Amino acid sequence: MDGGAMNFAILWPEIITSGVGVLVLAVGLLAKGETLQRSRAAAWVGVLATVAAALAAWNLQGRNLTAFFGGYRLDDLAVFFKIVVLLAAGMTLLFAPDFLVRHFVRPSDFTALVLFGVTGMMLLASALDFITLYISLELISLSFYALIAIQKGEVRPAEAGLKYLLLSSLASAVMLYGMSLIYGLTGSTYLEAIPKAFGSGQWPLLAGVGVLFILAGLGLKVYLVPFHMWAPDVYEGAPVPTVAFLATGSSAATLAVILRLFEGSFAAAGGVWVPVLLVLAIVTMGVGNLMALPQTNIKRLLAYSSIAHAGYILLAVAAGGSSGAAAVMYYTLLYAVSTIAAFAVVSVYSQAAGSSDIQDLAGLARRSPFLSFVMLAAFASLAGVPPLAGFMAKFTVFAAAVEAGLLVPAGLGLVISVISIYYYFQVIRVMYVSEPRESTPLTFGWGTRVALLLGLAGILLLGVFPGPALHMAQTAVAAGLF
Amino acid sequence: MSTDQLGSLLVFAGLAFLVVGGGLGVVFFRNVFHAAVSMAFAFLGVAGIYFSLQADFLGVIQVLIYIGAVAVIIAFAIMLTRRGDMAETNRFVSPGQLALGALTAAGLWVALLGLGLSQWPGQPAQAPPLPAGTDLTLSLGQLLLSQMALPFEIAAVLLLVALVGAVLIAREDHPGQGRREQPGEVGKS
Repeated sequence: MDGGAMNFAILWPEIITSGVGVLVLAVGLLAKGETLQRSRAAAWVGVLATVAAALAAWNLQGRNLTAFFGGYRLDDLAVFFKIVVLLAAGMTLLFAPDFLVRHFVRPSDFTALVLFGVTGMMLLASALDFITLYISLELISLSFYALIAIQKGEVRPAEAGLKYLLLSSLASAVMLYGMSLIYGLTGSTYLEAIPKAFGSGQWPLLAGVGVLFILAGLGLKVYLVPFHMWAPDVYEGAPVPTVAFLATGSSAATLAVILRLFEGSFAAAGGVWVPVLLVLAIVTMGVGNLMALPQTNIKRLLAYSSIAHAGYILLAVAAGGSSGAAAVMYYTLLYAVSTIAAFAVVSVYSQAAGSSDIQDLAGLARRSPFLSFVMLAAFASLAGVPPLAGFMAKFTVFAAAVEAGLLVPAGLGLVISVISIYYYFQVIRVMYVSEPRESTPLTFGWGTRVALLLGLAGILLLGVFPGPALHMAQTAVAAGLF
Repeated sequence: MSTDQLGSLLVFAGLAFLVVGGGLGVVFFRNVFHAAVSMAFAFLGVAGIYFSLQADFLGVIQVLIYIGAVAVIIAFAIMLTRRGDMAETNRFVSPGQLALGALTAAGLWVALLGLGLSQWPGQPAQAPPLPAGTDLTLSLGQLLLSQMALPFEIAAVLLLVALVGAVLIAREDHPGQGRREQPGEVGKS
C-alpha cells in the first residue's frame, strides 16, 4: 500500500498532548507533598498543552497528505476536528479544578487522562484504516471509563462508569463485526480501498450489513437513538467536567470518522445507510427534544439536549454532499462551545447547591449575573435563537437538507426544534424569575472565569461572524476526504 | 468434497462447538467459577481456529494471554471475592432476557446465513496461501514496526491509560487527602 511513509512531524499535536500527559502523570505521582491544591497547577499545564497542540495543528493546515502507509490522513478536515477537540479539552481543564478539588479528585490525574483522551480523539479524526480507527476509539473509551469513575467513594460515578464500559464494549464488538465483514469482502482495512474494491457496481448485501453494524457501533458514541440509553444515566452520575468533555470531545471526534467513512468510503452504498440514518436522525431529534421536557435535573436535561443535537448533526450527515459535511463541522464546533459553557455554569452552581436540580438554579441571576448571562447565551444558542451561533448552525443544517432534496425531513426537524425552545427557556425562567433560595453570591476561580469568557465569546462571535469557521469547514470538505 | 476439505470442515466444526459451547456455559452455569472455566474453553477454541487459519503466533499468544493470564486472573478474582455459597453466584440472567437474547441471536444467524449463501457480484477477498517455510512471527514483527507502526504506538498509550485508569479506580484514598467522611457515613468505612 502506498500512501506515504512514517512522517512523525505531522504527529506534533498528538505528541504534545500525550507527552505532556505522561509528564503530568509522572510529576503528580512522584512529587513529594503533592496536595489537592497544588495539583491544580497540573490543569494549567494541561491547558497550555492543548493550546500548543492547537497551534501545531493550525500550522499543519493545507497539507492534505496521507502518511503511515495509508493509515493516517492529515487534511483540513482532520485539522478542524483536532482544533475542536482541543478546544473542548482546554475549556474543560480550565473549569475542572474547582469541581475536582471540592470532590477530592486530584486535578493532575484528571488532566493526564483528559490529555490521553484528546490524543485518541485527534488520532481518530485522522484515522484512515480500520485498525488505527478502532484503537484510537478504544483509547478514547478507556480514558473515559477512568474519567467517569474518578470520583472515589461515591456510588453514582462508579455505576455510570460501569454502564458506559458495558455499553461501549458492546458497541465496539458490533462495530468490529461489521468491519470484519467488510474486510472479508475487500481484503483491505484501508478506508480508501473500500470503494475501489467494490467499484461502481452494486454493493453486496453482506457489505451493507457491515456498514449498518459500523453505523450502530459509532452511533452509540454520538447518541444516535436507539443507542442513546446510556447518556442520561452517565451524564447524571459522572463528574461535571468529565461529562462536559464526553459530551463534546468524544462525539466531535466520532463525527469526524463518521464523515470520513460515510461520505467517503461508504458513499456508493448510500442506498443502504441513507434511509436508515435519515429515519434514525428524525427519531433522535424527536426523542431528545420530547424527553428533555419533563427533566428536573439539569445534567439529564443536557443529556437529552445532546441527543437532540445529535439528531440535527446526523440529518446533515444523511444529507451529505459538501454542504452537508460543512454543516456537520460547523454545528459540531458551535455545539461544543455552547455545551461546555453550559457545563461550566452547572459545575459552579451544583458545587454550591450540592445537587444539580433545575430548581436549585432559582434566582441565579441575582446571585451571579455573569454566570446566569453565560447560561442564557449558551441555552439561547443551543435553542437556535438568532443572532447566536446555534441559529447559524441550524440554518446550515436545514439548508444542506433542503439542498439534498430532503424537504420532509428538514420540515420535520424544524418543527421538532421549536420544542427545544420551551425547555431551554424553562431553565432560563427559573434563573431569572424565580426567587432565590439562598442569596450568597457564587464564587469561582480564574480558570472557570476564563472558560466562561471563552464560551461566551465563541457563542457570540461564531453567531455574528460565522464566515471564517464556515469557510474553513468548506475548504476542508473541498479538499476531499481521503 | 475432497478429504482435505472434509477434514478442515470437521476440525472447524469441533472448534466452533468448543467456542459456542464455552460461551453458552458462561451464560448458563449457575456457579460463577464454572462459568470462568467454561470461558477458558471458549478461549481455547478460538486459539484452535487461529491455528487452523495458519496464524500460529496469534494462536500461541491467545493461549498464553487469554488462558494463561486472563482466565487465571479471573479465577483468582473470584476466589478472593467469593461469597459463602458459590452455587448461586451467576444469576444475572432472567428468562425474559434469555428469550430476547436467543431471538436476537437466531434472527442474526438466519440473516447472516442467508447473506453468506447468497450470490453477489465478485468474490470475497481470498488471502493467497502462505508459501512453505514462511516465518509468520518475523513478518508480524516487521509489520508492527513498519506499516502498523502508528497503531502499535497508539496501543502503547492505550495500555498506559488502561493501567493508570485501573489504579485510579482501584486504589485506596491517600490518608491525608482522602474523602471527608460525610455526616451519617461515619464509621461505615
